Amino acid sequence: MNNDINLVGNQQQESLKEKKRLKTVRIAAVVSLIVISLMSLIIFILYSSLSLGSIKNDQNSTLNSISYLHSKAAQLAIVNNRLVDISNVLSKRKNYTNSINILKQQMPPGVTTSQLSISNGNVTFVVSSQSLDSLNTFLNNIISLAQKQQTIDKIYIESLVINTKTGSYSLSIKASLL
Amino acid sequence: MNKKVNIDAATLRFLYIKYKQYLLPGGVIAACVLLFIFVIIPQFQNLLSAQEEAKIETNKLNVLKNNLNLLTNLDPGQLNSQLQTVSAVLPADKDFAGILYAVSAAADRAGVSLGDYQFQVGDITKPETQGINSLPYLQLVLSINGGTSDVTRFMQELYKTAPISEVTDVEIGPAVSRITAYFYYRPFPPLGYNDSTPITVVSPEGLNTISNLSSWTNVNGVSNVSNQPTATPSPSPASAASASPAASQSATTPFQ
Repeated sequence: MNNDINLVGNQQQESLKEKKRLKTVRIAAVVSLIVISLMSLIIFILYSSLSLGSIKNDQNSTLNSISYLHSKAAQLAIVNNRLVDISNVLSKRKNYTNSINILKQQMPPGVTTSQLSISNGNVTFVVSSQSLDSLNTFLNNIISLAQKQQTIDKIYIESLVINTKTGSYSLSIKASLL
Repeated sequence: MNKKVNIDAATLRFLYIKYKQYLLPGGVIAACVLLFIFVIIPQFQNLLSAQEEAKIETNKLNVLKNNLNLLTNLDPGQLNSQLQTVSAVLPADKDFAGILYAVSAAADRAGVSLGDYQFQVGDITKPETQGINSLPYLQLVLSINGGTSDVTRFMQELYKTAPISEVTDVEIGPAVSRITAYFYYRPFPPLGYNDSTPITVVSPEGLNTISNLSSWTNVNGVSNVSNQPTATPSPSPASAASASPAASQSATTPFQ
């Protein structure tokens, strides 16, 4: 008797495989269902937790409250806006008082200012004295200022005039204000 | 030899009987896959967008609540006073009367007398002249009866008088001097108010500036002058200085 030919045994093996395959597919179907359901539930819960509607409601009620305070907001905006401009002007506007006072401090006794003109950042002044030495001292003082880059820069001597009637000397100087 | 596949009703029936047990679970798996691709993934993307939107709206709500809180706690009296101060220092329009009063008050405090003066408005068909930070200004040229000391004292006082000004040119002579000054103003800008923009209160530096400005002459209706400027009853523009609420009669006038 040939034991290799056993049709009944093969059929049993095939049947077992078939059942196993069917079981696997069924389990996969159930798992897929469960996974999809869980994911849907999670997405639903997350959506619910967002409460976008209540945020919008809060915004509307806050906006309604703010609408009664618009005049205050406008006043505050104007104050802040003007403070910026005022601060800019205060910091950038020219102040010739200091420059003039410093130039005056360089004048030794006997030297007077007969004319002083400031325009476009340039200063032109005419000083007079009965003594050339005093004028020389004044000139050295302002040259020293220019060398230290204080107050003035680029000094030009425009003229030195002697008034023979009064015996006074007039020195005309032009410089750039720093 | 080509193998022929015979598909007919009998074959289909055979296949159905053989695989019918796989139909339901296979259908369920296919449906789940389709649901995942066409429903779950888009819903998840929508969820992410909604979360982002909720975050943005929450931030906006926080800004609104902060704004409401700030505005509620603002002292209206103090705010009004600050507004008056900055409006006096930087008026919204050409304040000829204010400028005349400022010049008069500065001259009075400096102890100098003024000569003639001249407003230079310029060509009104052209855009307004613009100075520091593109601020429009009115130019005033005026004479001072005095020398260097008088002019420097006057300039110092003018720089502490509203409206805010800047001396640009100075010509000092032995007896008469001339200065050119710009008096700045700024029309109110169109306020594009947006509720969602965070409101900022006046900064400490701003409060400090306002505190300094409050001591200026002609701010908040306070003259801060020792002698009131005169009101000369003449048709000259100098009489505009008398229109100021702080003006009153006195024996001398800075304007000669």
